[in-house]
Amino acid sequence: MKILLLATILLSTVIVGSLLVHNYIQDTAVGFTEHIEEIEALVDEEMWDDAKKEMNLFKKDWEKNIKFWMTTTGHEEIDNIEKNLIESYNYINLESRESLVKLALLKYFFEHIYTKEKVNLHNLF
Amino acid sequence: MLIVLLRTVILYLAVFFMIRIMGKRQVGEMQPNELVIAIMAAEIASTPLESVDIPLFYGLIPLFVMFFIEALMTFLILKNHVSRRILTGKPSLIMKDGVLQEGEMKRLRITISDLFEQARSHGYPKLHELKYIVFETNGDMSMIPNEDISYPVTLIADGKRLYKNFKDWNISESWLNEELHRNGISSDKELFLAYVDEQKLYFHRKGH
Repeated sequence: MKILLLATILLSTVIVGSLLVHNYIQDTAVGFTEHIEEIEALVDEEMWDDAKKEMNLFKKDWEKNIKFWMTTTGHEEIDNIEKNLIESYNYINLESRESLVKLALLKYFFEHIYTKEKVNLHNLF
Repeated sequence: MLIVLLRTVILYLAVFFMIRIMGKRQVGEMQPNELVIAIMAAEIASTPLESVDIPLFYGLIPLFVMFFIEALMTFLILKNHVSRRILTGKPSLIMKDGVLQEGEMKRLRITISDLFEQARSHGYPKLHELKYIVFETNGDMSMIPNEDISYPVTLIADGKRLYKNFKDWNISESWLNEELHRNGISSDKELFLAYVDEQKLYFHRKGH
């Protein structure tokens, strides 16, 4: 009986923790994708100074979150984000419109992280 | 992480019911739920070890979930007769009063050579020396020789009557009622266990 109680407490903690982590990841990922869309609009209008400024903010924001994301998300996903972030950052600094391709990929990887964690039949099976 | 949690539950139940359906031959001295843990736990724990790209939580969450399911199953096995029957199965008599139960052997997929092998390993090379052979829920066989002339039959477990045993062993309920009354037991619920051996009732009260 004591073991069942302990296991129930442990499982409840895991469920609550998972829900909180899932919500946090979703909220931050949505925030990141919205920010990317803003940068995309600036690049599209070739407002390079503003795009560089926003990209710097985005990078700093990501660096604040990366440690937590590493503990809860597959590292392969993080590597994909990191790679595309570096490329986007440098393309923007070079004032190249190719950065739009990399930003689109970056947005895709952020969306992919929270869509693959959604509880639905497609992800379960 | 919720996906990992739910996937663990689905896979645990799938492996568990597969083992239950395969029968006792596959179990090998463990209860089905224990075997599932043995199969899955080592594999799950080693997944984050094999690759640093997998967060540790992906290994820890399934272990916590399995710990919970195992604790729940053990609780159900201990507390409820019906769930015990479903989760662990019931012992099967493959020899009754010295007569091999061919139908039961076929159902359990036990061959004559399996039977001889088990009998020899239990120190009974001659089957006619045996009176009862019980195929236990953990896949082991218990051999009761001729000199032990009777086989105890459980009539009450956890305060509930096992009606199938009354029917299988031709035991009358009125006889049990009389015996209980004679021993000052007014309700089955007072008993943890009651069994009959050589037409004598033995019982253990609850709360000890």
